[in-house]
Amino acid sequence: MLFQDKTNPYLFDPDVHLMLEFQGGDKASFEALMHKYYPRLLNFIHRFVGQREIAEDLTQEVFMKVYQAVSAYRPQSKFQTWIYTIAKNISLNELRRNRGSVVSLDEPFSSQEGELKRDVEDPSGVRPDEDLLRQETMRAVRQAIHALPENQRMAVILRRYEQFSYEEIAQTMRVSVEAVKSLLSRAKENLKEKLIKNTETFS
Amino acid sequence: MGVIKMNCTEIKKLIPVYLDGELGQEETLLVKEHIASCAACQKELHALERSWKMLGEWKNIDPAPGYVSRFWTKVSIQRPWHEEAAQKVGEALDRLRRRRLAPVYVAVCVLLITGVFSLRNYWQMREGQDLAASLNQEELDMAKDVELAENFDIIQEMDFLEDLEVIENWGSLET
Repeated sequence: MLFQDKTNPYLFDPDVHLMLEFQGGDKASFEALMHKYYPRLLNFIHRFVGQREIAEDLTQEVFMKVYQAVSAYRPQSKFQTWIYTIAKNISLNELRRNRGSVVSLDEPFSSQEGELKRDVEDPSGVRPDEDLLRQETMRAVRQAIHALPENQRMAVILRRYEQFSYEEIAQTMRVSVEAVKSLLSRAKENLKEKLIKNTETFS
Repeated sequence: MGVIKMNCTEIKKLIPVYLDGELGQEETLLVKEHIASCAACQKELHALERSWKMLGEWKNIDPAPGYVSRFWTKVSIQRPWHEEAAQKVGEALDRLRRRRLAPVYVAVCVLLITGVFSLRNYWQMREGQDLAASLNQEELDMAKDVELAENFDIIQEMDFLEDLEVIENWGSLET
């Protein structure tokens, strides 16, 4: 066991340490992990499934899985890879369960995002028509991302919003780095087709 | 330097990965050189860059406050496994109902019930037959014994009468 621990490279991951501390009964370590990953996972799931309320529920479910898995936990990957893989599986299951009914593209303007954007933009004194244009762009972005096939969408979200490396995406999605290259190339091409054409009609 | 020239189609395939800085050294160099002298590929690169940047307009959301305490509440009210299982069975039945499989469902139930009753009847019949068969055998044996016992007397009587006849006829035989 001692020999194994010395050679396990994942033990250098501070989040793995927190998980092992939680395994030893330290609830505060679990909460530290929650504070670090909850907002990120919420956004990851939200962008993937499209609905805020469902994303909140699924994020709670991710942490429930982590909580339940603690007694059997063995560090076999970076903590981030492990927890994102759980989130990915839970999101995919949700889409299978409610095929076609999860993604709601009309949702963004009634949610907190509009206000959040205004808060950010107010100090710089953005003109209302510019604000409208940005909202249109955001709507187009959401639509373009949701029009992507699931695996391309997943790769785009992990790369663009979670800043994962190709290697990390490959590990999380359980595919090869070559497959990630191909997924992202096709996804970027699709997004370009949709977004550049769409926004050129606005401006 | 003997760098292989690539055409626009091949370069365009590499541009998305080039923009992420994930190409190998040699391919990176090929793309760089090509783009420096190809307006069409430059345009493609800028369009890809622009659309990728646009994705940044989809801002992050903040979690609903109290997510940690909400989590611990969920943990504390977690139900035992058999209740979870009961709920899952209920949900599965619900799904079946929603798919309008009710007629199939009813048919399967009727078949099952009929099957169970037919089997029961069959076994009852078999048991009855077996009992009857075993009883008959015994009865037959007993009946045979009774017949023998009854006939024994008759035979004995017949023997006695024969003897008597012989004695009676004895005189006439002698004469």
